[in-house]
Amino acid sequence: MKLKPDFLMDLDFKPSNEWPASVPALALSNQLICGFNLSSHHPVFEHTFQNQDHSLILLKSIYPQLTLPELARLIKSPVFSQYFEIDSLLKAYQYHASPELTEILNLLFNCNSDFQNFVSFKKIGPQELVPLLMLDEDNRIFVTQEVLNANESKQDSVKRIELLCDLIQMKNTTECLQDLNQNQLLQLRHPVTTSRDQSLSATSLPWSSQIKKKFKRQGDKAGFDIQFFAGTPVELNKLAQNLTKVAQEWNLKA
Amino acid sequence: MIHNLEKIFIDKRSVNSEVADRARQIFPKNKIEIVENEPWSEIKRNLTAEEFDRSKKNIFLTPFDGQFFKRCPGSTQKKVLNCCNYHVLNLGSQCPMNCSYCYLQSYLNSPVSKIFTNIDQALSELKMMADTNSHLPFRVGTGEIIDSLALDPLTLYSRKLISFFTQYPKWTLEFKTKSDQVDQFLDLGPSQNTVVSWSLNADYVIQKEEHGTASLNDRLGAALKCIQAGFSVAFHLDPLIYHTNWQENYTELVSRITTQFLPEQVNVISLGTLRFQPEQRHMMKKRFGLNSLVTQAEMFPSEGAKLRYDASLRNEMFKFVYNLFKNNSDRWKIFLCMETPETWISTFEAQPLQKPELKDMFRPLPSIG
Ligand code: SF4
Repeated sequence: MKLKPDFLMDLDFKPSNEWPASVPALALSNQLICGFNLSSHHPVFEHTFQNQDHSLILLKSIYPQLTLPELARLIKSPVFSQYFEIDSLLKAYQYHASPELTEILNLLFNCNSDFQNFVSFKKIGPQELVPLLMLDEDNRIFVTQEVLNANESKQDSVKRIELLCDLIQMKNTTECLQDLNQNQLLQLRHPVTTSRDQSLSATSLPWSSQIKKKFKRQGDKAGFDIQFFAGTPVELNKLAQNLTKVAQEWNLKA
Repeated sequence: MIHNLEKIFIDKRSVNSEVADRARQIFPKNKIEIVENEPWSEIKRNLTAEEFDRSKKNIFLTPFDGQFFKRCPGSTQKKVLNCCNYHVLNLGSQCPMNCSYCYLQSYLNSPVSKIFTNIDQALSELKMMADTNSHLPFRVGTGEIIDSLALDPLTLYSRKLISFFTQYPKWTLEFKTKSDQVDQFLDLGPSQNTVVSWSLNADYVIQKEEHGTASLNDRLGAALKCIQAGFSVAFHLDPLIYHTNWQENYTELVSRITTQFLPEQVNVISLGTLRFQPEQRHMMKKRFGLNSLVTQAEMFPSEGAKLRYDASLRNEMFKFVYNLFKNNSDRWKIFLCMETPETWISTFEAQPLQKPELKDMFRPLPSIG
């Protein structure tokens, strides 16, 4: 049997990795489940469809892992339900079926392929995409495009998604949010804390020139990262005295 | 508040309970249904926002098979938060009111409110523990995963509990509520080891964030009734929520308290600032949008994995409210709830055990739960 035209491609969910040309493709009855990228004369092993459990075992052995966008595309394929049962499929890939996950899969399916690939590549999880559910389509397109343009690490991309979604819902226009870096977004999202941090970092304190200090925010605390070198107990004493003076002044100004 | 309930499901095993009897007296027939299984029990995952909303309007009267008596969540957190010797007795779950910051949003995943009908079993469990520890000053609260009093006109559990606690004068029973439902037990006073406590907030915050709760006026009015009937009263100014006019609004709140009550009439006043589990934020945004002081709040990862305001802002808020009370009178007893040692020290310049008026409350006791 040859791949085309003998087999149907209704389950083609555009897997991220191409099927190797040196290995035959596989089909469930007359539907291909891998090798969608291969040429028409490629050999195919055909498995007779028995039941949905059997199909799932086969799918899992071909694709031990599937990303969220791959799952979204597979679930949306026109003949999906003839071969698979959605809850068992999600469970097999370590996801808990829920109305929220269904919404996220729908959302991903409707995003452009660049964003889908980005989510696959960065292994972004469903919880990290939840903020997008609260936006209308235009704003969602804006956010996903901003995330793609920024091309940051997974952690920063996830942060950007949430910041942008919050800021849009807090009535900021997309024009003001375009092309901002994370710091600018944080300043908009946390105006009170930003201004408190700025005034603390600008507080003039009598630091010794031998003490290197850097203003820093760590979770719910802001303060100074300090570094110094003492070669003798006398030097250390001097620095300690300076630090005591700084602490007294800081206390007065706080 | 009980009249906001849309449906009362009665577990077949609870049809003969006192609560079921009362439900039949209070609610029309078409609101009551006898069931064999918990409604929506097929939902075995986190609730959606809509399901959570629905769970507030539907109640299931059922016996509880697990352990009734538990220790305060603050004392089980890994990194030690300063927490009082507090034990919780859960006689139900979920709440008919709807505060935007409510921690039940990340805690509960039962699709229906519950009232446990076997209170007598809870009391006998409690009796076993109380009989061996009657000399120790334990505090027992019923408001961990349910408001202690909002549904009390239906259950009347307050009456059983108050009577029970009169046998153990060293033990303290604490109701915690944002309702004004007290009339049903006032005749049992005086009972000094029953503390009826209210979470209070600035009027502005109540209107914006504490949906379906009693107004500040009504809460304070109910507290006065309790004092007159001989009950102890406590207030929790918790969560203090940052907003543009927070200083004026909290000044107004403190002045309402200090003009209506004497320090000796209020057992203790606890202060806490807004805090919640990070995973709760999506649910809150879905349910209340971003036009809320809570969902708009500037929150940062903090001790115990919770999100809190910037530490210096928290200190400022604590100090501000603390000083409002202390400027009125030194006799107000104030403590910080669910706060880190650093915050205690920067607010009070002392840890709780170093403050004479709070020593008893924080002295570690043997675990009995
Ligand atoms: S009153 Fe308490 S339990 Fe009820 S919704 Fe508000 S915070 Fe939650």
